[in-house]
Amino acid sequence: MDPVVRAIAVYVFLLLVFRAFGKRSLAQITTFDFVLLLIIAETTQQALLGEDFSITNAFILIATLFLMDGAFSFVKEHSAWFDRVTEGLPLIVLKDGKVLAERVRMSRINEADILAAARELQGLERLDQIKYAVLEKNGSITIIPKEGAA
Amino acid sequence: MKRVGDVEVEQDLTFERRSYRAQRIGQGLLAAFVLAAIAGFFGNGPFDRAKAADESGGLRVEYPRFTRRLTDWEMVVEVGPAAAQGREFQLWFDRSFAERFTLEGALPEPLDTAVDGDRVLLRFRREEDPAAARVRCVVRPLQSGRGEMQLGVVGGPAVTLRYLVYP
Repeated sequence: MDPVVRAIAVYVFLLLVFRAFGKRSLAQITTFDFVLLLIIAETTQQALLGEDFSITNAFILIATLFLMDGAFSFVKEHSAWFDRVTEGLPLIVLKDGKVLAERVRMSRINEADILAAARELQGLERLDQIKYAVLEKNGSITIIPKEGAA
Repeated sequence: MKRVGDVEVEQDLTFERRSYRAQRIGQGLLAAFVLAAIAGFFGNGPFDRAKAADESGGLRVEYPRFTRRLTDWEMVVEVGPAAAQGREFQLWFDRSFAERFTLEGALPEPLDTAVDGDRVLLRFRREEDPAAARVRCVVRPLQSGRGEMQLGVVGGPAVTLRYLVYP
């Protein structure tokens, strides 16, 4: 029973931590973020395994994590509320070249992030070439250019 | 699907504002969690040092009141001269010790260990001329949860250690 409880606890804790730090927490991974992710993975691994390095324990943990993920997906599919709470919603952060300040602040992004997405995805040069910028649920920024701008 | 301007997007500003507040609360809770860890509320910090002593002062134990399962838990036991005469003395731990802990080591090493009814006994040699014999015991909790353990000197005083073992 112990590994199952540990796997559930770690899964829920990670979910809460990532949710607490918003959509952008891992959307743009810098080199340092990548190293941080490896450290988190290593720490989590030790908490999950404890002192039991048996293959049985590993199988129990893997099965529990997959089942947890499957169960969360199932509930998200059937409950719009749960899906919103765990995944968030898309948010328009720029309209007609104007950054929507409150939304940008709430999402912990800035103009530079929007411009970077505009350059990367559409080859745009300025904010006024963007019709809409949408911060998606997964933390990426989608750019819809103004007609003739792209 | 909701339409905002020309874009069909499932946007909800009220939800976003609530979500933002919830995130700030979550971040605050995480910061409090880390501060509590620094303070020692999860072990290894200034707030986790505890002392238990009997009224006569014959037995005194310093130990961390918070610890974590399967990590070393070190207690320092001081046996005063009044509590145990002679060249040897015996410490006892109650049954909960055997059920919830393993003894990883003791310094000085016990001369022998034995089980006597509900007690685990450890016999030590007393040094030549100490004011109080001092034993450092390292144990490892096997179960999480709040608990109490009785520890004493055979034929002498006893104290109760109260602790919390985190999972």
